[in-house]
Amino acid sequence: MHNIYLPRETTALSLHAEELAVALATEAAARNIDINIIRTGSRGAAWLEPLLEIENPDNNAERIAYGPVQLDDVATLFDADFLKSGEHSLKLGNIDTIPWFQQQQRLTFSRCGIIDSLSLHSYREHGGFKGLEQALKLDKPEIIQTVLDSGLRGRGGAAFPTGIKWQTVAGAEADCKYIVCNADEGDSGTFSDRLLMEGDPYCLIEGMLIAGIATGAELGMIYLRSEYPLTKIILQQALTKARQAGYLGNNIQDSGYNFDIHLHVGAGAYICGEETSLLESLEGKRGQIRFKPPLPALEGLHGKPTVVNNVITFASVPIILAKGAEYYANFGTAKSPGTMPFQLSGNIKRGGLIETAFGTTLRELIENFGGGTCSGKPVGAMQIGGPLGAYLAAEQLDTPLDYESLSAIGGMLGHGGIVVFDDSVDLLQQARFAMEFCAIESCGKCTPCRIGSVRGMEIIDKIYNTQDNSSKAEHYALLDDLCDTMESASLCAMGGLTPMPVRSAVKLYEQQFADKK
Amino acid sequence: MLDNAYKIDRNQFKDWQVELAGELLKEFDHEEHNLLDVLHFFQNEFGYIDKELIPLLAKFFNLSRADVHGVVSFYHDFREQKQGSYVLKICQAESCQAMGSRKLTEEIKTYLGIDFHETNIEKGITLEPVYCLGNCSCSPNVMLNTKIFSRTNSDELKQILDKLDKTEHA
Repeated sequence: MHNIYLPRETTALSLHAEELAVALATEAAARNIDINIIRTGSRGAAWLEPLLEIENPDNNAERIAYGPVQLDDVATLFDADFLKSGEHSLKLGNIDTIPWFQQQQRLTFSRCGIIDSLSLHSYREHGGFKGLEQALKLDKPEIIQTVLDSGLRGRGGAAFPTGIKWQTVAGAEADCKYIVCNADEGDSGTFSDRLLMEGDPYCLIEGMLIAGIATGAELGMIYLRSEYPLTKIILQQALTKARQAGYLGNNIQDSGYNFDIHLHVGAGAYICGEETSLLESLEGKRGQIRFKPPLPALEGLHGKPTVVNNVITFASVPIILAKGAEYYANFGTAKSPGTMPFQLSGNIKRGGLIETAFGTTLRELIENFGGGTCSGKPVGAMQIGGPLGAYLAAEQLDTPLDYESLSAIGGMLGHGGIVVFDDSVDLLQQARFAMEFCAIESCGKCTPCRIGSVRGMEIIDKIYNTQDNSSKAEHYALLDDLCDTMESASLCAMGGLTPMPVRSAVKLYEQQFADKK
Repeated sequence: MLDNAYKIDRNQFKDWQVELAGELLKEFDHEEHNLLDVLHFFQNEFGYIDKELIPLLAKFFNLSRADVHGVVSFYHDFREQKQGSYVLKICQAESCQAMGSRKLTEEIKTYLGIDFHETNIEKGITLEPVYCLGNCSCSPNVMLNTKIFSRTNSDELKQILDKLDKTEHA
């Protein structure tokens, strides 16, 4: 019997991994060879998908990788005796010696792509539920103290200290509290939540469970975006299995604690990634944002104290509990401790998810991991942190990736997405798109966002259509003024941050325009 | 083998019947927070949210018709018109833009002779924009019903669209 690992994950499936699984089974049967295909998540190397790994029969800790495998390669792989690590043009060798993986520091994603995503047995074998075991030995304030000491900051984008949020909820008096997982990963260029949920769903469940124990909540909700149909299926299967095994439900693992998780699917509104809008949506309403205060930690879902954290935030908790706050905080920088799953996309040769400590530079990610642009042209611009993040110039490649360094140059790290453009990018068009996106996705509650974004599109159109420099200058001044208004008067980050990509893209556009003269 | 990889299951919807909707609604409980789930359910059954459903849901959840209409119209997923047997969503977000999605979109719009939110009746294809499918490192991406095609281009996409099973279009 030969064990073959093949992802069941959106990227791999978009590159025909499902058909590949069928082709492998068919070919093996025709050749009378016994194979066992184990479906994992992805290790995040999208450029190698579909990535096949063969367990070395002599040393089952070692896996030999082949990729990216096309359907036409199946017969030749068998001909080359790939099940016994035979030579083939797609052979990548021992997966652990591939630099792209070796040079990462994988804490949150340590199991992703390695284990059968839905097997509780392999989850436990690879350190799963160690965080829960530790949490059950501690009292509630000690759990929260560990999270505080780790320095973990919310990975959704706002980077608020997780421990403080939990402490607030734990300290609130209420008959019922909620744990809400924000899995409405709408930022373009981000997919770490999806990879985690598809590849290691029990890690998210464990993190939410620990949050429930620490704060006294007995019900959790996952708010998943509807654009992730495969993730929905995997989560449903994982929740059922976790419930059957006594990791969800009443008296979890004989601990006396009760906790369950419900899955809710959104309906295609970007704004529902904003926490108060998400809560409205969970209540069955239009996803319009709420005024803050009251904070969701005090009056959240159905008016009850609620922890709202991103998928990666929850998924970072088990290892912090299992290995201790100090272990985690030793990675990264003083103010941005730990690791971050960076997501490299757009015009990039070797895109995917790279988990590494904070403080690594953009150049390291884009040139070393990413191998430069896919088109082979020079990097023209990079957008960091989703559609509300700033556009940076190629000259800023040496910026370290941590919360403080990016904010010092007028950008933000957000959810860790890096979208690369080559030098053919029209940055004025990108600035216009930022306004257009805001107009399409605005919840409509506040005027600066709802109307400002439409006016912003119109002004940029005028800039496009004007040849006269003095009226162009007037339009720029007006755009600047509009951005000021949106920044200071919008209710939430949608309108408040849209000026960030607009201003940065316009600035780069003007620079490039001046350089060309 | 590749033909198999491009096989897409057609959307199959029931014809709208208000009595049937009333029967199906009995499976749900009356809590308002179920409204999104219920709307997803009906859209999957009938392919769109018929205007007759609005007063039905308003009564069921003890809401005003305006409340229900407000929710339906807020979310991009909910359609108030029928959709084709196939829904093609082309990603319009930044990562796909960096890989030529603007050109791809124009070419597909021309090919289908329709704009976003419209349906080519003859081919049974509805065209929609989508803002990120979370598969950004293999841009550009499109989603055809529930299947994602990555690193695609208009020639490949036209071939896929041409091969779709065209029997019995809605």
